[in-house]
Amino acid sequence: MNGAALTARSALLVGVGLVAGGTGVWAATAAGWRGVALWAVTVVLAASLAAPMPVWWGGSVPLGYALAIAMAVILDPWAYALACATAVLLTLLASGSQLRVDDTARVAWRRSVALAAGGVGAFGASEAPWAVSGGVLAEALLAGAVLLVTDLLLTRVLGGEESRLQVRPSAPVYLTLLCGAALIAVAYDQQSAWMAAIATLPLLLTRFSFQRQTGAHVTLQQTVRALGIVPELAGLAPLGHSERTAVYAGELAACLRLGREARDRIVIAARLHHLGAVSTDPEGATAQVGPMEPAAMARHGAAVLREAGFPTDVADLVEEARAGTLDGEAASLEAAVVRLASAFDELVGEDPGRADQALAIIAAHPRDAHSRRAVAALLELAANRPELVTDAVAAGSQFTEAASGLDLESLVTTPSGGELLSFTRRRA
Amino acid sequence: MGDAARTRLIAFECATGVVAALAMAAAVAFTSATPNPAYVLAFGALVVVAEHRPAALASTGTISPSLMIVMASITFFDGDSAVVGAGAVGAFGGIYLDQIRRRRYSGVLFNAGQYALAAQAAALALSLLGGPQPTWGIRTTAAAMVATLAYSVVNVAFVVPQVSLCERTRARVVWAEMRPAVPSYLAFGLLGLLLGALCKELGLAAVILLAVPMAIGRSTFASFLRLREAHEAAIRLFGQVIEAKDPYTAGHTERVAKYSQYIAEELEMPPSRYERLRHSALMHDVGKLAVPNRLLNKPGRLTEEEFAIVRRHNDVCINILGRVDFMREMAVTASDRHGRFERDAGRPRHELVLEAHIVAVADAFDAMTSTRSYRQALDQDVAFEELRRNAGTQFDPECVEALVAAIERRGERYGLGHELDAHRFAVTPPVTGVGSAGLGDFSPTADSP
Repeated sequence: MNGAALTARSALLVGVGLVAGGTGVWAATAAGWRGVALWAVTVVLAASLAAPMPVWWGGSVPLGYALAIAMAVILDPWAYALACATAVLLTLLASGSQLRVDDTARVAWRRSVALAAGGVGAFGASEAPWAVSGGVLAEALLAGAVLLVTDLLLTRVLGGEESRLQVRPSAPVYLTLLCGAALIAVAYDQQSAWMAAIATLPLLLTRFSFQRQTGAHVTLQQTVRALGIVPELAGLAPLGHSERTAVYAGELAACLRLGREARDRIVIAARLHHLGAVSTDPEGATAQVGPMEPAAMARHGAAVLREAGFPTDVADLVEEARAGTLDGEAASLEAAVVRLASAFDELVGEDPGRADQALAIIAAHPRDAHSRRAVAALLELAANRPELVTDAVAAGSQFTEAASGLDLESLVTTPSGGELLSFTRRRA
Repeated sequence: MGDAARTRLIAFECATGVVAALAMAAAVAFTSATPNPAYVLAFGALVVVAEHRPAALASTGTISPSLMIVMASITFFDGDSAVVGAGAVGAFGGIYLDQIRRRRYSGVLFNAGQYALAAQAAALALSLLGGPQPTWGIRTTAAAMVATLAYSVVNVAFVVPQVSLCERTRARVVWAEMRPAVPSYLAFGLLGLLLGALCKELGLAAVILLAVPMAIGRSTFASFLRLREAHEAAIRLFGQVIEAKDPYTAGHTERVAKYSQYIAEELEMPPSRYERLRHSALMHDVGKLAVPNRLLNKPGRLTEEEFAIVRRHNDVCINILGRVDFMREMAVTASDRHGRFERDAGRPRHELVLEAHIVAVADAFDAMTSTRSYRQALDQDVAFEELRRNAGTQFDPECVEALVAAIERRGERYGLGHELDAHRFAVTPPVTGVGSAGLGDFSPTADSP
């Protein structure tokens, strides 16, 4: 962060502090200790709205929704509206310099509309003619459901690919927030504010689990990315091949509307599809090894992954994919996607100009039902997203730039010369 | 397990059951009120379910959420019936299918007994401190924490000797394994007491409100542990590939990781940094991946030109991998280690620098105490002497002394005659003078050709 940005940020934070402090003093003089309590809860709400509850595979839901739901049920509508408006304003001011303008607008809309929906839900549950008669618990559940469903829909309506939430992976997060909110509301209603504070424990413990899970997912992806480069460092594949294949495979999986879990598996397998070319046997590096068939390479790669304790579904996919050839039937759609992505990159490489020729070669290749679906998706992608190939080439070029003229493929001296195996050379 | 040890274990388990039964009888005799059996049964059933759904912890071991249910029952049956009620609910903890299937009836008796005793201790502590108030405040919460502590003390006091007898390990070791779970006991205990208070008003619906987030948290945490395992597998694979590249240094990365851990423990580095240190140690030779094999395995010293090629390939490799976020930290360790300690003298001793210094010392020590294609292993004392001679210039003196102290305290011996993975070389490596470390081994010296 440069000096000017730092100064702007400090000024903003001081501004937030002044606003918060000023409203605190006003609350104390105007409404006594109740005012101070409301002000304190508002500050906590602002802080917790800024704390994300991460969703597996991207996006997040503000932790503060749980507190907001409880407040919607406990407070009267005007106090709730005042607290929410102040809290949203405080969080926007505090994060102002970190977000882009359109992101700030999206965040503001998402939080404001969702919180307002929660307020309406709570009012409807307690005051309206169709009010439910289940006490605070029923009111909290109803208000919570309205707020959270509105939030989920808003992430879709407002756009912004990174914040768009999928129903299945985000369901546990929403369910946790709903139960946590109901627990806080009931604990306050039946017991005390002190008990309500203890009631936040399950929410915080679960958030900790979500954070650890998301963090571990990111780290795993990065290590796999590095591992995918290993065959390239040994000169067994062109630099950037793993990266570009992963881009193509991920886009193909998305185009085929495969689930996030399958997409994740496909991208990992695409990155590691050449791992089988590398010897992990201490005696193997100097042993006489001839050129490896794709099937043998896939088998070896899968065996190495299984032996190291990698998830078996990824190892199975690497074996099924038999990347490096388009001959023979694809065992599954996922396998077809991985090997098609690899073959397409082998044909295109770092030259986007070769894409049309590559598509023609692939389209003419005889194939089975799974491969046909994968190829149809690739043709559709090429037609709808002409920048795909340039994007993929750009993703791979960071590694070729880093190699700065060093010819790693020269490490592969002879097919049997000990520096391991030859990469399946381009057929184009 | 020998017969005598087995007899001692069964005797201890049965004795626990008898003590619990006596305590229960005393509680029944001294209190007039009896808890509602239907609720005892309902809470008991929840304890059985909870016992079969332990939550994994980040450290080794698990914690059973049954503690929460037992604590809930204490608040629920407040007043005179709490001690008897909680004891009865706790006794359900003995019902563990695996143990019943294996006909380990004394184990069942033991668990029922120790859970009942712990539950009674907690209930007694809470009632002595005034019991739960109509409205919970700081005072009741403090009392609740004391009650949870009472539960934990009784639980640990019985479980540690039992596990120690069962697995024939020292009690201290068992306690060291259990200790990380103790803070979770407090959280579970407080939540349990809240649950009991809410159950009074809402019935078992309150259980659902708590059970749903806890179950989600548990499965998410299990998923985290699986991801971490996959990540460990990927790191292991990296290590294997690096070792396969240079078969004459088999076991080198693992040993460097071990010595790094020795140094870190000696320097009292916070355990939260152990994982990254281990990964850095396993990855420290990552630059080798792009170094031509003919140079890596060349007998004798490298020429100036060959050395330049090795350095260039090594640097490019680290540069490429450094483009991946996670590897960037490892790459710092890998490239920094070739820098000298004195070069970092003015720099703030931030985490990565310390880790790089630790790995550099561990790497040099292992390089000197194993046989390489161009020379025989050195004696351990010669290696120590060489490390000390270069301390302050090439190596961090604190790290050097930490390694020497750690190895001497353990009474371990490495180097000539004590090598762990000795190789048979086609040409027997010559016995030469000192010269240290990893890629430093390739370094041409004045006497090289």
